[in-house]
Amino acid sequence: MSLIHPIQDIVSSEDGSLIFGIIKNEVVVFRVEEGKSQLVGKWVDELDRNEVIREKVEKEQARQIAENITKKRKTNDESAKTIESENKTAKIPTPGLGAPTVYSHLRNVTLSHGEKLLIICADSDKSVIIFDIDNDNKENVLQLKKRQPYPKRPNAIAISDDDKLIVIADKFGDVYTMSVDSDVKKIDGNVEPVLGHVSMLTSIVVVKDSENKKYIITADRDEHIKVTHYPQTYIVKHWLFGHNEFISSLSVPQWNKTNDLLLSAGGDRYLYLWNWGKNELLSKFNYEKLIDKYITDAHLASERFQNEENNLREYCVSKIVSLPSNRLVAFFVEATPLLIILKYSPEDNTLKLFQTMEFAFNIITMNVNNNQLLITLDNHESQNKDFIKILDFNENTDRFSTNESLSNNLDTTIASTLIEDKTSHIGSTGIYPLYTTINLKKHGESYS
Amino acid sequence: MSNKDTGSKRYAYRANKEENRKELKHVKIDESSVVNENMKMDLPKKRFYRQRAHSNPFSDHQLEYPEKPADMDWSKLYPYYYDENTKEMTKKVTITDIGCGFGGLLIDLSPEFPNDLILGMEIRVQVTNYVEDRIIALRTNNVETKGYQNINVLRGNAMKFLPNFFEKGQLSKMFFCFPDPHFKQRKHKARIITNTLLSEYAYVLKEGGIIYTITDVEDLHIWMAKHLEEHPLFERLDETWESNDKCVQIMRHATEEGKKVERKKGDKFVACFKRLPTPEII
Repeated sequence: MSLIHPIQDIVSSEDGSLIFGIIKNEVVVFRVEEGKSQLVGKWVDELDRNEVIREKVEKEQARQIAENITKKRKTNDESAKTIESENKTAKIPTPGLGAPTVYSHLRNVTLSHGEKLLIICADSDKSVIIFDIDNDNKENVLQLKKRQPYPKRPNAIAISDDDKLIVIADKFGDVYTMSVDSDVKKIDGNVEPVLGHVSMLTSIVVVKDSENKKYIITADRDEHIKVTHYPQTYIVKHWLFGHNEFISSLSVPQWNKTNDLLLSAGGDRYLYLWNWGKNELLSKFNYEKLIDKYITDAHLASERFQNEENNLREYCVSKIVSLPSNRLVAFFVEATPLLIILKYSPEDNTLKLFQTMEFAFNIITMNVNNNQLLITLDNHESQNKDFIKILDFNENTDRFSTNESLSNNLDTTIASTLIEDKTSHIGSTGIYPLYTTINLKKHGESYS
Repeated sequence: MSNKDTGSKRYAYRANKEENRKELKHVKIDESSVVNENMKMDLPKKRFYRQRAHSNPFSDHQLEYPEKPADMDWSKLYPYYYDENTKEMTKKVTITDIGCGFGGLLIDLSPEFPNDLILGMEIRVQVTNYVEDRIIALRTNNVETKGYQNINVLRGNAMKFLPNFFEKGQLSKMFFCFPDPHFKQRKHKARIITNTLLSEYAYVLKEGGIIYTITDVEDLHIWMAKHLEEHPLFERLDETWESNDKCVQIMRHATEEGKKVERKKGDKFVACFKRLPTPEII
């Protein structure tokens, strides 16, 4: 039996009726009605990386030749003509033997608040892709609207409350904005960053304070969280200092109506709770004890950074999400099967343990909608089962529990509709790297 | 690299200086610590501190930096300005030389701004060591006039960690003297002046504070001036202002790079900018 690749990223409409999943370089969309699911949309990123690289190399070569010619013209150098006439073909770099496999991930699947647009980042050409969601289209609800390449790989995106502004944070530390209002079909040739860090950006959020002023909050690999005004992105409000390790995830709780709370976590052993506007660290929640027994040899540091006893284990928070109500937040540690849910207590501004849930496999990612938590699992040992767990909040027990029938129904739909779709299978490239957040950890190897 | 050659003269020199540095780096050098008035210290010799001219600002160097500005222990760098009674510094750093190199500018600025604390930031280890040794020697040799107590150097990456050291509006002057030109187009983000970094410099500079730039590379000068001119929080100062400002004169002649350019009879391009008041938030 061909195995379908685990789901790497997931997002759902607020009422849970549409679920968007990323499998390798493919987006799949399921509609859920009365506990039954069906595949209603699909899109594969078929872009050939080599073509993208070739285009870039040729463009750069043309630029260099033009530059050399102008330089030589300035100095009246006769050889200018010879350069012009020479027409060398650009040399395209090809990976050598033993080079690591290049994976064309799709990342950061995001749904606009009005649920009209789906936004995804593609590694293949470092672009942000926008789809229209056309619910009336019987063939495919996903309609490609725009594909905007960026100079460096987009690593996090966010969309403003009014769905007018998309902010994109890249691996080189720059932040770009894209207006949804303008003609989104048009591709911008030269994009300029509106703000930046000199460090890889890992998370970005757009927030409004109680006076309706907008801010962009960015987090990076160098322990920095920066609060910047918008649209005056040249004015930094302040930095939130307190992390001692990289940051991997930020979240602004939806249940906090004054919008002044922010959660952050990453390589530190704590979840940080901030009043981001007042630049106050309110409290930290230590999760070390909760997670201790789930930290295994799978978390051993790579050989290069390993200690002499060979027992150095490294782990980090992969993602935080805020639930819509009940002052709850959920997070998990990378490469563990444990979901941890905390409750905010406004009396003393702390986070307290509310619930933990252990799954049969490691959690890859999670997301929320108005009523549910959506979890995807590293199910490659499970014979095309256990792709997704949908968790409902049970008012009677005051806790979350797995909606077994819906989860099973989704698993069956995934297995039956994708079994003929080779793109979604674990093929010759194997499983895509699922646990990469820990690679953000700095080891300070460079001394010079 | 040859500094692994433990028999070399350079190795011995460096080891000796390191010991000396460890001992004196954070010590308050005053008349009581210098026993013999006539004991003069030799200034460090640059040839023992050679290091390749460039450092990658994006790599994870083994750096020390405070978690936040309030955590920085400035008393170690400026022991003369630490009040034992209140346990606090009597002054804050207000002038910085980003990429201070061998420290020529710091040394010339020191007597000109006796009421300011001046900090050089340099990313290259050996070059930082040289400046530290130079300051130790200068403080020792000028102990009776209390000279050079207001300058010091830090090894750090200003592009990444400047806000870890300085609070909002703390600085009145920032110098960028002969920065690495990073000629290749795809290396332009490694330049010390970019539109995104300027917003961070604007944060640590007080309103009316000055950014000084000087370079012998015309392309880089045009680039820096263009980015500063485009930034809404900076305004160029004219040539009359430049010719009347003592820092411009010092910057033209004091730095090692400046002297080198002079020897080679090269051009020097200066551009200075004032930090404008922060506009109303919209």
